[in-house]
Amino acid sequence: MAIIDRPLAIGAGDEAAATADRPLGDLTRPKNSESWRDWLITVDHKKIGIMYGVAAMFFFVIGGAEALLIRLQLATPNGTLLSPEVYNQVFTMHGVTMIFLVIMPLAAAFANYLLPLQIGARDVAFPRLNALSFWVFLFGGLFLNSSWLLGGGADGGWFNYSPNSSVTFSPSHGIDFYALGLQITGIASLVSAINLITTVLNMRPKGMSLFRMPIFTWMNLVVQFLLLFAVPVISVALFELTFDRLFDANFFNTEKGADPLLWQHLFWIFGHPEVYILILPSFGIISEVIPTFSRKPIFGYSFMVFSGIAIGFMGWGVWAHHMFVSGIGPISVAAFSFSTMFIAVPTGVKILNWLATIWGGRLRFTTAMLFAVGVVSMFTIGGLSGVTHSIAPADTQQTDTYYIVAHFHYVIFGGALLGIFSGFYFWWPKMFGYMLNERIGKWNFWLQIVGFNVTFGPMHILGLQGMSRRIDTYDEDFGFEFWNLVATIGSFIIAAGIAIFFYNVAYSRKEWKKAGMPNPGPDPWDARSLEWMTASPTPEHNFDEEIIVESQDEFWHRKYGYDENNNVVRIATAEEVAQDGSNHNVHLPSPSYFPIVLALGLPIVSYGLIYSLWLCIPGAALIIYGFVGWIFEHPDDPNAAHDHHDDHGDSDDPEAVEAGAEDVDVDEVVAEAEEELVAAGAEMESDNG
Amino acid sequence: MTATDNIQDHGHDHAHDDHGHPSDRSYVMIALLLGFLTAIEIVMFIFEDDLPGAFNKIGLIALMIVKFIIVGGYFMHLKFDDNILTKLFLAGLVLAVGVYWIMLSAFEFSFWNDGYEDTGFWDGQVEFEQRIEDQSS
Amino acid sequence: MASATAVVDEHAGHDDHGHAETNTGISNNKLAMWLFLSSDCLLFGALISSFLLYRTNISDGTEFEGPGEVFDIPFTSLSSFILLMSSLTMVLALSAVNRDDERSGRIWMLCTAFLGMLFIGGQVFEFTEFAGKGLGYTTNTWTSAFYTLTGFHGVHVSVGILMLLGTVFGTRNSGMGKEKSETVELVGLYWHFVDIVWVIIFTVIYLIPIG
Repeated sequence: MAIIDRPLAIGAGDEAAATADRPLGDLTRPKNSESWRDWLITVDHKKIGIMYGVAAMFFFVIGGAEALLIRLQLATPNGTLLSPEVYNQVFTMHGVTMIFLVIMPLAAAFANYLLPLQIGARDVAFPRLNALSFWVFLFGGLFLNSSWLLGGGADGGWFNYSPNSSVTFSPSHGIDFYALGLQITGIASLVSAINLITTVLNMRPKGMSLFRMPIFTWMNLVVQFLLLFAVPVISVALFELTFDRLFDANFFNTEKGADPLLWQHLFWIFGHPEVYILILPSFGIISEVIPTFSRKPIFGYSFMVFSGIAIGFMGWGVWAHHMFVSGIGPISVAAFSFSTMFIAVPTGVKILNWLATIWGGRLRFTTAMLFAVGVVSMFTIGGLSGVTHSIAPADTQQTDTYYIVAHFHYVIFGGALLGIFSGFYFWWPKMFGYMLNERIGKWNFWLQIVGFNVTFGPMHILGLQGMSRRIDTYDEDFGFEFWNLVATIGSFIIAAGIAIFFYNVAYSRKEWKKAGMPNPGPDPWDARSLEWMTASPTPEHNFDEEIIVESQDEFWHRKYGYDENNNVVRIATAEEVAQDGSNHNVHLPSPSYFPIVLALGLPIVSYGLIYSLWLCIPGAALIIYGFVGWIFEHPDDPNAAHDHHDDHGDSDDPEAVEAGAEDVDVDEVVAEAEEELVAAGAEMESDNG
Repeated sequence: MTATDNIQDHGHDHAHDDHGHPSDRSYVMIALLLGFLTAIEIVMFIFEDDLPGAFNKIGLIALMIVKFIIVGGYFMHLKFDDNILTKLFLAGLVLAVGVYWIMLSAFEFSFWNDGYEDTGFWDGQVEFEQRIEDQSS
Repeated sequence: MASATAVVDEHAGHDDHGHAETNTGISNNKLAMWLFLSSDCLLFGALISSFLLYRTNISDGTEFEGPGEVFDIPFTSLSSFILLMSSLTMVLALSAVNRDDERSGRIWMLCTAFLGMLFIGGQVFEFTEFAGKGLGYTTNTWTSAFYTLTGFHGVHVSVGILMLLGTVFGTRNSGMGKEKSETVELVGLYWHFVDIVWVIIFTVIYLIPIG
């Protein structure tokens, strides 16, 4: 791995890096090339985090384009831009893309980058598995989107209810791509969850007890547990769907007495925790941003932690509120109605805590802070409309209308996405070494938040007027024209806001280079947690030496103390406290080709399952090759100087890794083997007539 | 996390001795016990018709749980390992039992009554019940 | 900066000499394994509940009268017993490796793999029998759910066999003494988990009577 190939910017061959302070350490590795190839083989959690972010923003543009197509189609009555079939595909893929390929990986980007830093660790517990997660996710996402070029995307809504998702009703391969693609990204999430939980539980430095961890780390720990337990549920549902569609199994075959509600239950047992998987990372981000810019510690730290855990826990007991009109019976409806009302409580606790943090603070309205306040206000609206759904009779009226669309966009766009943008502005200097322009950032914020409300606010009205979701058009005299047009205009305002963000990235970078690349310093925001206690951008080895933690907000407490009157006074500058990243004597885990090789096998096997089982053979061969290579590869470069400077997360013992790695990959091995077995069985079956 | 600090310098070599793992002999005894429990299960199955239905089911499930705990506690040495592993595993296990139990209840599925209690809840149920009736008559 | 690195070393996840100096005192590998097993509970839970839902749902228009007709309980009991005993050989392997008794460790692990293969053989035999009675994967909801559930379990067992053989043969040069104890332990954890899943399947799917 590049000795000090700092993650200055996305892409590579960064001339800027070359001129920066770059003394070569004494452990130069043979594989270092400082070219784009480094990114393919890296196991550095920071680079992987950045790649997650770049990949997710790529999918974000795709998903955004799909959203604009939907809005253009609905701008006027009897729209003819999209045929009903294409419209079905567009809204389905918009949802799937935004949820699984944008919000989740953006959250993963922050989690990967920040979790080890915030707990003061060198890297994640299993760096190679971390790389595997990313590549599996990326290839899964590309596989999913390749359906556009191969006969059209999935067309059954992001939840693909059965029996509508059967071959009879959706004969194209779209839903096969959906089932297999999400299966692949699920593997990525599961591996990543195991990795990050292990990291947080096992790799904290001295003094960093669980209740000194920043809220962001806490929320992500909860999210990883949710993923750990939710992913297998959707995996089974997707396997059953895949087997139904490809091998004529009968899980959802109503002709043979199957119960289509099985899919709905399994999907939402996963699906509701998924909602919290989307929103909690954002809660974590703004719980870092708000205290920093209010210059106050977070109000009610333990309440924040426990309400996060409570949300995670209760999130498992409310799934059937998505099914109030599915005929689940009065007892189920009553029970789930009740539990749904209750889950608003811990969320309300969080909102009150944020408000109390802001209250009386010396506020600085930076762009990051504006986005964070945007989350608090917009999410509250979305949360409140959510509570209206818990009342089953009202929900019966609202189900499948635009009211629901309005609700979940207020939660996911207004909650999750705005929070992620807050995180961009906040951590950008830490990740890339330059600040995003604040003036342009404010344009970005205001366009985004105004556009957002103009787009999704009217959908509440449209929904209550009775406009149905997932219908490709409406007639002139329905009374939907005005608000639909408004919403479409709003969606383009959002698009402009997002475009300004991309412009801001390019502009700020250019200006920064023009100004001779001034370093923003370790701590440009006067922040509180450990990631600011090292140089910006983060050096490859994170910290020069272990930080012994003595309190919550350790970094802040090293900068500030109390005078005799108990007033807060600054006792040290950030530069004095922070480490300068000059220790190049740290042994880091070596890069590896095998994660990307192994990951590449998965989409090939999936294409094989859809088109020709023969294609599974090279795919499986690639997986096995990657796997065997992985096991016998020493996690550390044997050619690197290897004295006592061992500091890497992965095990040195290839055999131990074998077991560890193998376990985590069992799922996919199981998947492939099972699929092949069943495929063979199905073929035998059909041969036998 | 203070407790963990104490055990931090356990070398792997000593870890097992310190935790007092069972000897090979006790492992064999445990396995024999498991075999014995399995034998009871089979006997219960054979004499299924002579035992009250609920007794049979409760008994079989109780035996299953006992076997589960023995394998988990001794063979997977949860009994001797750090508590946190038991908690993590139980988290998944309890969650699984919980959500799937609720799900099956929402189907008005009853473990004790074999299938569905209400009528016409799913496609084909009426025919199914008709068939059962035809068979018994 | 050597001293600084030395400080860092103290909290390193692993290195060649020490072991598992982690916050929990449990090695990363072992913790990850347990997390995976915990997650797998949800996987098998979903498969088992899918099966339970379709347990009596056999309205497929064929002659199939229900599982009682095809289950061969004495045979399945035997294969369940075999899998249970493979857990015994697995702990004996670990115990031997902990004693640094490499030879016995290898023998016991091979025994475990062999018993696992017997179990898989039994499963293949059972599937063939069922298929011979006209119960294909696509015949009805019951067969789909049954083959998928037991198939997933079978694949887990097969992966376990590969892990066992991989450990025995992959360590021919490096040896499989005490230092490999954790590897054997992790393989063992996975193996026992697969065993307890079968304990549940055997009771809930095979033994609990219907009607």
